[in-house]
Amino acid sequence: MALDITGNITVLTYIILALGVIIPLTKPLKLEKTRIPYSFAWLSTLLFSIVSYEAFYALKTSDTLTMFNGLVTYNSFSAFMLMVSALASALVLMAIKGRAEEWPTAPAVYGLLPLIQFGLIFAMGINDALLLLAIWLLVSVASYVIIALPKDVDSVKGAIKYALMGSLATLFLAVWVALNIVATGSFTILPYQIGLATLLGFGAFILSIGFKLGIAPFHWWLPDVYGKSNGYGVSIVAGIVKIGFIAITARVIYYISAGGFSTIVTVTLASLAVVTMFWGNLAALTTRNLQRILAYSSIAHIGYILVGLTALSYAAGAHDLQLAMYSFAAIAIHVAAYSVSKAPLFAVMGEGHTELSDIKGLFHRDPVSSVSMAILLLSLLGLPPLLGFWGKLYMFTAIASYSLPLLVIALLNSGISAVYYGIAIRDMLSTDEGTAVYDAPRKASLATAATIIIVAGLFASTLFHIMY
Amino acid sequence: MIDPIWIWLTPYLGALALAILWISGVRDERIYGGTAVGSILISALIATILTPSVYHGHLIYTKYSWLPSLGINFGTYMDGLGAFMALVVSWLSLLIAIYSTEYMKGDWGVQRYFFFFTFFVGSMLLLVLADNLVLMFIGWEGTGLASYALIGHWYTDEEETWVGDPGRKAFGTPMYFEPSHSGVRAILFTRVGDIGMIIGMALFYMITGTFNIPQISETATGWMSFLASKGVLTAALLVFSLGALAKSAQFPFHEWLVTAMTGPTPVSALIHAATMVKAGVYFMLRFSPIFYNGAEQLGGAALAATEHYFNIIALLGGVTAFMMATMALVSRELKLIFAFSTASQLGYMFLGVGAAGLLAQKEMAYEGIAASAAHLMSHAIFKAALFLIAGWAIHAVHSRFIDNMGNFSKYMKITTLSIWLAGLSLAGLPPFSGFWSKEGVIHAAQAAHLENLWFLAVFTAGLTGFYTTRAIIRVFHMPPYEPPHHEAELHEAPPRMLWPYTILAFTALIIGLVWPFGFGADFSNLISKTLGFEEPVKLAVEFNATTYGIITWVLAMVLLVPALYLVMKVDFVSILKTSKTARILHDFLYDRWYINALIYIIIVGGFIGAIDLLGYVDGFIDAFYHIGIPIAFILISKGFRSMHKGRPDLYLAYYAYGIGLLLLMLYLIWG
Repeated sequence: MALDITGNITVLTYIILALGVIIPLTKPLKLEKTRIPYSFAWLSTLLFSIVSYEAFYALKTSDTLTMFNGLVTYNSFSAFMLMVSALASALVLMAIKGRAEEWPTAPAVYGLLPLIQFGLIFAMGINDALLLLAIWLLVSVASYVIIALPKDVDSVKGAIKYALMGSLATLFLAVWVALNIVATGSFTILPYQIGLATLLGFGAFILSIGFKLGIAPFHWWLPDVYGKSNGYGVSIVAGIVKIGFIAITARVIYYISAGGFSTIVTVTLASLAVVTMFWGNLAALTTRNLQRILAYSSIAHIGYILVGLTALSYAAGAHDLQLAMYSFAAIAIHVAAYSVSKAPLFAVMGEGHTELSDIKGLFHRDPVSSVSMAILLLSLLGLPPLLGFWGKLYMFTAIASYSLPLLVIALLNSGISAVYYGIAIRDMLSTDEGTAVYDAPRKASLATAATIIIVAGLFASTLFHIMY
Repeated sequence: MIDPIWIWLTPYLGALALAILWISGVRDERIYGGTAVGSILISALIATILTPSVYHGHLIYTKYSWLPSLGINFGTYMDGLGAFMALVVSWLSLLIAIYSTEYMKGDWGVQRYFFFFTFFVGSMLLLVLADNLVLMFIGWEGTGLASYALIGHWYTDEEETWVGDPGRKAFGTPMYFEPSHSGVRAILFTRVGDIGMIIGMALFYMITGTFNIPQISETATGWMSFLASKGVLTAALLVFSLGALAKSAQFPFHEWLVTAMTGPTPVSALIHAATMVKAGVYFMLRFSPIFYNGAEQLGGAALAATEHYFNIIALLGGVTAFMMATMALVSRELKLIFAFSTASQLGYMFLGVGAAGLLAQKEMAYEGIAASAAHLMSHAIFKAALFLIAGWAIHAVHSRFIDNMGNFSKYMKITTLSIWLAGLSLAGLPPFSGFWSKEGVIHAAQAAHLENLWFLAVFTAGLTGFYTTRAIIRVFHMPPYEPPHHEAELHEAPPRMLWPYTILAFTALIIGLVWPFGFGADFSNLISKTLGFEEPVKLAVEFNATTYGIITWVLAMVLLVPALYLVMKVDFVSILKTSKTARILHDFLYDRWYINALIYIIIVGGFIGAIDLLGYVDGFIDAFYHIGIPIAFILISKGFRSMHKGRPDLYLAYYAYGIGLLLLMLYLIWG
């Protein structure tokens, strides 16, 4: 029996959207404190992962999968990124169990998750600039709201800054949409012609996406939002939403560079990569608040991903399809390592602003959590054989053909990051008594993520060759 | 035909067996002594069985592949020289091992002693039989390691194991040495030379592409003309020979051998008299024919450079021979006298090789080299005997100072006879073996027209007679200056100690007696089968006026000693107390020409200064890495973080700057 995968995915997408509308209805029915919203969020995540699985299934027989009247085209990179988002969603849901129900805004966060997933299904393979703007608005607004939902002072302050900067960025995205039409002659994202419009369009795109991803020097909101707001909200924004924007960036960068514009793009991305890596890693060095360390390390990781994007841009410009596919796959592996680590780590930061002194002696109080956290941190550092090592390895191998100095700088930055990850791990192993304790859901989330990082690390080359 | 590899492999297997026994918890010293003696005996027998074949002109050469990429084999190369060395080393080791089973009885480290003893014998035999430089170097370093371990055998550093007068200083440098200190000295002094040897090996490999000694010999004209064309032939040969100079304690490396006397006396006899210090001489005997032949064939610049090299070798040998003999004149420690004498006699051997290299006539040059080999053999025999006797003497009075020894001739007749036989051989009087060999060396120096060195060698021969007789008269025929602190055991040594040195002493006599009646010719015939010897050698001493003059001079110096001590009863102790000139001269000789003090002050002190200097540099580097970089990073980090004040207005401003920067950058790239 032949499966109508396009049809299936369309139906599932609408069901997910419907769940996003149904879950808030539990509030007037006074069901917001029950298990129902949480279960529906799980259902949405399950359907979301089925979408990614079906996409993989379809891509076994063809290179691409086009849906929604040609507005969305999937390749294996898109499907893989979708799968990672599903995994990150599951990890966040595991950790958040029983928490969001206590917020005054319950069950809003459970309702927003399906909306974000709905947006991501489009974001992963978007072809149309206008649709991109729409998805951008949907997901962005959902993100601002999610950050504000716990309603504590820091979260609300963070959400305000996030929204303020976000509106500016959205403005530049609108500029890009307009210039995209000038550069390509249509709303469709195609290889760009060389011209002033392309240059300005690229600039506008970098300004908007730089804000969204936290590329220095457009990252100003990020330490406040990631570093101070409620960790559950951050885990959704940093662990799930970001994947969609990375996918969008990779796709747009590929098309801009493929059109013969690659020199400027590549040099710009490489410069931004250097600034971003150094900024994130150096700022994290003297921070003694674990959540802020994670925030700065998120900036650093965007720097590493920019290294991968630089390789992608170079490959696109050189019409080296082999290297381009290699770079896409490398970015995907790194994003997987990043998301699977960051989602549960931010989630366990929870309501408290976890200081390093709080996790002191965690190993003696809670070996499962501390070992899991250590594995996730070491993966972020890039220690073999964990998944984070392979992401960096593939990306840095890809960049070697373009620029050795950039490769050296990236390695140097990995070295710098060892300091603060090392300090965090040392504190967990120390005999001093901190205060942090993690309950069963959070422990489960950490342990699951650590297991995935180890197992995926052992099979990294298999994962890589799904895409390459 | 037995594979010659067993000659050096058997002692190694013996050492391995001892190590396994130790790990298995066996501690019975008779098993250790027995294993050592047994493995060395097998090795000596194999060497003896194989030698006649070499003597008749059959080269014994076997190899097993080891590192094919570098062309390095486990190759055992037994030519005339190899067979000769294997015989000397294995039989002497056997006798000394037997002596050791008695001497080391009940010692707390006897198991360790026999392990290193056997390991040493294996390494020494590997050294003299290796067909390539790498294998030879492994044996070379093995002997050095064993030497270090055995010099420091009594590493708990009790005072009776020291060398030198406790408390004595020269220019503020202590002139007394503990075993552990001496062991480190030995390994450091020889290490300096070995670095040169490694450089030389690498140089040969770079030029010739092989470590194989016969191949280096075959290609000698090639690499020698190459080095000569670069003007570095003399330097290259000298650097390559540094290891030999250090191993054989030639000036300025001689200091380690003196203090090596902290080891057990059989070790001094075997390693620091009979065998290991001969490794350097072996090296010269092995390579000087190669250098000589190459230079003779090339002529011109290569010949001049090689002659320059041999001149330097001869000069170092002659100076060492004289210098060390003067030190032996005043020494108060019996083993030390023999140690000075060893370095002095090694100097003769270097002088012989150096002089031989300068001789234009091939057969005469080979004769000079063979004379050095003969002196190597005779010295090994009589010096081993002297050391073994010294071991018993020291044991008898529980003191290393000859001041505490005296009148031994009344209690031990066989030992007295033995020390006179060995001593007169050292003095170089006919008909002892030492006469023939030393005469050969002096003759070579004369033939090479090295008048000054010839005179120095003859003069030193007289000094040798004097210090040898002085030691024997003081210990055996005069009452002690000071009675020993412990009750002396004045009787003959136990048989297992007595027989080895008696056999050696009589061997020194018998070889001397039969030398002119065929033994010299047989020896020459064996040495003629050596790699690089293109003409057969005939060692024969011509008795002429010079020869008789030298004999008379030595005899006069020998007889002067009993005249001074026994007939005229000169009181040297009170002369030293009253005469300032005598004291200055005595202290100069007693403190070893102040060379040790100078080495410590200039080289060791210089290095300590350099360490201090580098300490400052290191401090800066350290501060840069551990203070500078972290502070810089902390400042940058805090600077970055201080921009995140949580104020949206600032963030918008920063964002605006970012826009400006990006546009500027795009503009620049676009332009």
